[in-house]
Amino acid sequence: MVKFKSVLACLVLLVTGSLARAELVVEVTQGVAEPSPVAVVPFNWSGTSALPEDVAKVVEQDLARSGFFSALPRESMLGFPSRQSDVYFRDWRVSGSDYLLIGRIEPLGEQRLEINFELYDVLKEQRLMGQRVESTPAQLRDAAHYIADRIFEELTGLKGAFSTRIVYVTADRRADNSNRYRLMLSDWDGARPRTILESSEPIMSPTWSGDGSKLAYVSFETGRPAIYVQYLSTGKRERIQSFKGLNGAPSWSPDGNQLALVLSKDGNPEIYVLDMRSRQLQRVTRHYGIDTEPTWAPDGQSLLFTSDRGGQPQIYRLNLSSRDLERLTWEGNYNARPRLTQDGRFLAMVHRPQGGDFTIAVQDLKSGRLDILTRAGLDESPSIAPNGSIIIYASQEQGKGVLAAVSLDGQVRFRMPSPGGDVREPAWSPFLQ
Amino acid sequence: MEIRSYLVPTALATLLHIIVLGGLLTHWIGDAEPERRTPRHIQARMIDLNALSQTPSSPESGAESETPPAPDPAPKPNETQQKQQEQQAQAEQKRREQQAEQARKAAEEKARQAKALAAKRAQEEAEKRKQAELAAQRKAQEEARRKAEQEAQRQAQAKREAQEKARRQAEAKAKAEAQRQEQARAEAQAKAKAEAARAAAEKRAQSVVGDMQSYIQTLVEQNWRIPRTARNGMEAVVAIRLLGNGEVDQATIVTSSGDAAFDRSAVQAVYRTERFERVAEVDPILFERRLRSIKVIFRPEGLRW
Repeated sequence: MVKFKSVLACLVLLVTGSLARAELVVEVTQGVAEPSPVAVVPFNWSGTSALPEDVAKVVEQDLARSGFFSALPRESMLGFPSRQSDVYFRDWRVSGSDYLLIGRIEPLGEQRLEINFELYDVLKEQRLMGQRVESTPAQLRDAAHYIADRIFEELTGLKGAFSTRIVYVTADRRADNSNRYRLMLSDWDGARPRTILESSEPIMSPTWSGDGSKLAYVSFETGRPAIYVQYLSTGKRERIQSFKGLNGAPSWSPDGNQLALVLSKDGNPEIYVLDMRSRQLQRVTRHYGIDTEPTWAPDGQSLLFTSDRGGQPQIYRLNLSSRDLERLTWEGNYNARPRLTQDGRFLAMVHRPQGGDFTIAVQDLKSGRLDILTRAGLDESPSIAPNGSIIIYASQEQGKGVLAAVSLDGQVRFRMPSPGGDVREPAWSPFLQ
Repeated sequence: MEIRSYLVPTALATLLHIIVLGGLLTHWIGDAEPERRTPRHIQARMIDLNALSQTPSSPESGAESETPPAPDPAPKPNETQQKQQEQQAQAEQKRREQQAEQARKAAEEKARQAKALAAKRAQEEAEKRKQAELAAQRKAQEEARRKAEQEAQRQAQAKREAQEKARRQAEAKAKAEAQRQEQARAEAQAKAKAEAARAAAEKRAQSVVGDMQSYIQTLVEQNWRIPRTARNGMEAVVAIRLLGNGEVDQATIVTSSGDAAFDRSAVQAVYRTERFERVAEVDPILFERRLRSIKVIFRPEGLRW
């Protein structure tokens, strides 16, 4: 019996071996640079009163704005299934969708809801995932972002950043001609904005700590610039630096133990690193040129900053242990406000080409290639989503600052809803717990 | 857990071995080699049957001849009588002596005759033996001659047969050789023909396969949506199984690019194509050989990054 089996195995090997040799191999090197079409069917709501959010719409927008997916318009849908038994893959295939998301929301007692969603691969006619999420009417938007995150991760392998937040500063002029500055916190897409600090003096350079629990920013509320730390859960604030002269551009180290900042207490603006536990200050740059806008590399080993030591603003990298300095940008006559993707490969910045306007550009540090992503003219303050897929930045529209976003490859651009006023300096949070 | 699960089978196997060994042992011991019995020898003595028949007769005749004749009773003596008696006695003596002489002579004669008879018999016997020997000799000679003749005949016959056989064999061999050569020639011709046909078919097949290769490539490229995460240098290999009508039966990643979105996009490109219609036009054998299962390598070129 064993012998027979081994003979059979040999035969099978021979046959498959000869087949494998004859197998045709096709090489594909070109494709279409299009996002994958997803059909997000409106979730079926079995309650009586209307829901405050259209969950499916939020999910659809999240996915579409990531640049990875395009949404099938609802009017093109041939049906609104909410259960697997109602799904006819042919219909969705005809409509050109690669993926299908269906869901249903059911009331679960007082102020509680249950959302069930299922994701399908239309082409393979296969259920990819499904999950049950509990929520409240007030938290429906959070639930929607959560669902979008789960789907994004399932389909791309990248962690979704739709549940993250952004902070930004708005400035508007009141009736009495005084200015009002506000530090705002909102969903990543600009929805649900809320004020976390209001002041009649300028607020600048908000930045997130690595764990997303607190912010650091510059406030002029005492009449001169000082660096504050504010805890998001309690609203508690702490002033940590206020030297004579410029105190600005704070940046948390990835481990949250250090804060890089710009001080001009010794003459001209230089980069310092402040140890948050010992409160000891260490100066890391020494140059008569202006050194500013420091940001940490994701590994915490080096700082990137803007300096005009070469005659015009360019971006440099300083290794903190060896103190080696390297100029990273060479194209254009203005490159400032560096931000790195979490993998450390892509550098987003404000870039002005020769004879051009200020744009947002991204440079591949591996190849040195620089790509301009925006064309607006006065774009500034880029900040990258923690999964590296989207860059948010401040732009100008009809003489007023607005928030906009662009995918890292420049394929998808969109404007964010603005609460009014002049919007500046957005900062994208890390992944939040 | 695993070791414990082997315990019972191992014990059973050992027990079985012991039982089998036991059976064999008893068999071996019971069948021990039987005592060798020496055969009873028969001691034979050569006996001459002629000698046996003669020996008892000779003592009989000897006894007859040796027995003396009974003497006559003597007369009673007196003077005359005595003289007479003396004369008589002398005569008697003389007579007795004569008789004795006669008897002796007769005995001698008889003995001589017997001896002569014996000699004659012995001579006859010898003659007879000699004759018998001669006859045997002749017979043996005759036999040997006959045998030699037969042997010679046999040998001659064998030789003839061998020659005949060799001749037949040689003929058969030659015939077989001729046949073989003929067959080889035919085979070579057929092979060359088949080879030519095969080469032509292979050439046609190659061109069909080449056609299919670029056809499949074009279709898949039209249907491949390169994901945002794709980078130059990434590579994924998808194995595709087709149905005879060109429909995609199955597509699976066999070599991953390491990027989930990239891998997914590659498989999706194949499923989105759904059907390679022109594959249905391909000869079924060629389809089985070259197109039933194919591999597609996704290796983007000219991406931004």
